[in-house]
Amino acid sequence: MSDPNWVETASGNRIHRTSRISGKKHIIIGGQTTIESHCKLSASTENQCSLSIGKCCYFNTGVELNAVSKHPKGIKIGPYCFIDKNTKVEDGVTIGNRVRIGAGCRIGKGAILHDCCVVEDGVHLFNGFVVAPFSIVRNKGKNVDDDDDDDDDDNDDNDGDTFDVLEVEELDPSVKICNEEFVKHKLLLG
Amino acid sequence: MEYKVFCPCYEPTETRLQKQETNEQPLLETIDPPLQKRTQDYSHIPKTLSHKVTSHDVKTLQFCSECQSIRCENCTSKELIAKFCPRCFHFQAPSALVCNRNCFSCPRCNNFLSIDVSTEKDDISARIKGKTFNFHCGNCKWLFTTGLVEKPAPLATIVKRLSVDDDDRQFKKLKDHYLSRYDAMNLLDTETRILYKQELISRFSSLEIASMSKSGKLPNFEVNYESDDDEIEDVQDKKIIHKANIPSHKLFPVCQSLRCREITKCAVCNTVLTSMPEDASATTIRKSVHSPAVEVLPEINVTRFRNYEKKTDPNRIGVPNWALSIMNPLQEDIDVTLSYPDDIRLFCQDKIIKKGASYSVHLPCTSFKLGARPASCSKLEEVVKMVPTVILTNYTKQSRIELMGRSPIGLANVTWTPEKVDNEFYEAMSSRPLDSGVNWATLLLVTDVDVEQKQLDFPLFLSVKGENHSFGVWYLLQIPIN
Ligand SMILES: [Zn+2]
Ligand SMILES: [Zn+2]
Ligand SMILES: [Zn+2]
Ligand SMILES: [Zn+2]
Repeated sequence: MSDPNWVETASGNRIHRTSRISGKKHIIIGGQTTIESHCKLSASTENQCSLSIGKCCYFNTGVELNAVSKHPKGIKIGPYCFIDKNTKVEDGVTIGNRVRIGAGCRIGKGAILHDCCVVEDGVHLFNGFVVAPFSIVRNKGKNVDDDDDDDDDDNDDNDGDTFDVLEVEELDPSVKICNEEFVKHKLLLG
Repeated sequence: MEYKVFCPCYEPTETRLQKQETNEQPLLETIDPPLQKRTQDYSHIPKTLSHKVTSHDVKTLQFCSECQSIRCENCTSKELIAKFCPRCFHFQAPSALVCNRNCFSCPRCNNFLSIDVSTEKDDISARIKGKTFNFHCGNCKWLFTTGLVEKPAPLATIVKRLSVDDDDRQFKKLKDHYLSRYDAMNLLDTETRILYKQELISRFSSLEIASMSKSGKLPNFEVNYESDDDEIEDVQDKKIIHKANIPSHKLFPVCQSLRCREITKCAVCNTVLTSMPEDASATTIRKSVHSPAVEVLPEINVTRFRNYEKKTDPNRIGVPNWALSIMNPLQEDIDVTLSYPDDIRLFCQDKIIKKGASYSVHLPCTSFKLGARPASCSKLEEVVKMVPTVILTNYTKQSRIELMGRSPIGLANVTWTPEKVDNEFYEAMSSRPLDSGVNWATLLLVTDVDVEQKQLDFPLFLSVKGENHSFGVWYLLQIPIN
């Protein structure tokens, strides 16, 4: 009955065979966590534990957790987190409990996401950014740096650097419940 | 499948008087029972049931155990207990609006600004002249400098002082003008005169006060428009600039606004519904929610039968049979009674049902018992028991083990076979659930809906009676069909 594409560990973690995990000895996964296909988990071999993941997390296809840059903190992810497709998490990131991160995000070095946060699709979270509990982070699009003192409409592309603009809002505490339900259903009901 | 829960707090309450005037029927029959009573029994269909604002996501609702009723945003009240900064997590005075601990964001991209300070000394005497604060954004590289600040002050105050522009000055003038008027009017009113005495003395000369109280007239506060003409034009010019992109050197660091910590109370009986422990830090998230509606109202899920596939369906348009699963979140046994209106066309959200097209539902079993939810459900083996067989997958080891232990009759009842459209099947299932488990039951739901309809909107009334709970609640089910 069991699917040959999946590896199931003693603590109930399910890892797809196409996912690549390096530095296995330095990774702790809490149990009942699902890692979908083509994920990349890399841990630095210098730390005792540079990548720790709580129980009942769900990582969708193509998620990358990169803890190899010798950041003293490594990556910590709390229980009941959900990370959607092709999201990259950089070193030194701390993610609390029940955090939901959308598809195609990048969580910058040393960022801290407190419990019950939601990060919408396509957000590039700044390095070292702190997100308070029960917050939602949105991408407000890109802006062009036109730091010219004379406000002429020169369309010199080489002058302007584009940068991301974010928006942080407070979230209703009820999301905690919805998040838990979501992960539970993903696990049991497919 | 999605569903909304109806809160009756917008229901109009009819008065005895109106009824007497307009209706000649005996009084007893025409007076609606009090709201509380009305919402517990299926006595009539609420007037605001199909109204968008009255239906809520169950996650956003509270349950007041005192009233035995759900409470939405509209029928709860909030009380501010503390304010904190969502960045440095320090609590601040309830009157504060922004963080006073040097938390600033970039006006262009919202990133945190890093601040460095340089102290300037007099070249000759080596005395400290003042400080310069430099703000820097690591994302968009925006820079801001306060220039030399001689008098020490909170950084938020310094930034605020720098950012005062002509708009603000113009507004302050107008505000001062009206404040003076307001005070002068209070002066004319002898009763409040004493109360405002202190403020009046600071604002007016004693001569002015004397003349005002004698003549009973307001002093002349006309704005001198002539001298302000230039400034008004200035403001108009500025408004045009505001519409275009503001050049980055005219932007200022944004102070971090604070977040509130509140307690929620039932607006009817004042029972506390959510609160925070006194000693909780700003990063503490665990609110004591005394009873969220999700932990009281049964959860409903309408699905197809197991292994149902459109391809195997001889009609290829979707079979009229559905499985309605109800799960009890309470830790007590409950009796459930279901009711629904005969005509559900009124609740169709598309409002485009063709004349003569069918749009109805039928629930053969409307009264049944649900067991209590097990007290402990932290382990997966315990959680899996609460998943109805009809939606239990075989994707995990845990669910496969559980599936093998489920009742074979129940499993057969909720597994799709072409015979499940026969009348015989309906009759056999007329008075009991298809399948049931620890705290859940699965019922047969028969739909008769036109092929062109995409969704079925179905209002369902649940009456729940248990040892500690007795309430009635309207669900608005949205079943995707065809
Ligand atoms: Zn309400
Ligand atoms: Zn702060
Ligand atoms: Zn910036
Ligand atoms: Zn109440």
